[in-house]
Amino acid sequence: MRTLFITLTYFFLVLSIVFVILPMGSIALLPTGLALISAIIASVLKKPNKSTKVPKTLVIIASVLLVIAIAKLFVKNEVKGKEEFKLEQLQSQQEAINELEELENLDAFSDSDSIVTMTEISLEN
Amino acid sequence: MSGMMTQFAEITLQSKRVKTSNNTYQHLSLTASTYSKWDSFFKIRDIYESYVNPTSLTPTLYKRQVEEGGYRISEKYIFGKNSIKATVSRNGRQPSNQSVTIGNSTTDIVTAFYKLRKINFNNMKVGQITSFKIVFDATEHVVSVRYLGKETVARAGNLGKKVCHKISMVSQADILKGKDRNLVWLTADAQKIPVLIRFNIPVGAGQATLKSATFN
Repeated sequence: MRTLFITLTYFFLVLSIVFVILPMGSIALLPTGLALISAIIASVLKKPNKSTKVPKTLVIIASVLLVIAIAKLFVKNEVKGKEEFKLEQLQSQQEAINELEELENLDAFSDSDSIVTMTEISLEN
Repeated sequence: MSGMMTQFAEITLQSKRVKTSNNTYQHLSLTASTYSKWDSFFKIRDIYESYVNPTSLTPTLYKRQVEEGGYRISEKYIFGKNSIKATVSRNGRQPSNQSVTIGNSTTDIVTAFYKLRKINFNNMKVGQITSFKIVFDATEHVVSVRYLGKETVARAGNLGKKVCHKISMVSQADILKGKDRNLVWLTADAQKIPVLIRFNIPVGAGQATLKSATFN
């Protein structure tokens, strides 16, 4: 049973490290919490002639990861470079307006073309 | 598990009038940017915009500038009567031009979202489906909207508690399977503000909640 919980702790610890490194927010609390619980259970389940050093170390590692995961929840999460992005949007809008002007001029040109054609037809008549 | 989510990105929808020397257009835009924590892992800076007729919402020009995890797409559609002239450039490569035949009522994805807000859901029965065509990635797609009735959303950003129309956006394949994988809650008032969006993607599920809505 103790071995099972130690194995589970290792598994959850690996997941915890990945989740703590990645900005997973509150999701990271799940593997770190489970790692801590299974590490505590493993350390409680004592076996004669077996050292308690490994489970105790796992409890410390899981606790540290849990603290980091909780601390990361308080780090400000905001959109960076908002001004640059806004400038990019304004540039895109200006380009679009120029393109729309060009399209309108093309339309006006094709309209005048069709008027010329009609004039030619009426002259022939 | 719905509470176990991580804040990933911010989406801004904006609608405003713009003028050229001869015309007035409604500029519809959607921008998406990842939060700082995610920027070093998967940075997103997307701009989707459409220039449409203010009354008919017929698009003239659609632009899409996508930057997702180092991958870049720049796309432009010029709408004709039954076709679009598409210019697409991927990762800064030479742009390619193509003409795509589309239906009379086909719009781009941004306009489609605004057209969705023009639907009078009060006249729709629960389970009723209405479809419209959109052009995305230079291909025409049929998107169907299934009306699922009214529901109250407790936290609708700065709007507080709101009674909403619950609708499901479904592809043709999902209609046959009867699946409602992408849900949108629009306020059941004249504004029809999107206050909650739930969607499924291959790697999991996502949710967009309204932060704030402002009107001029």
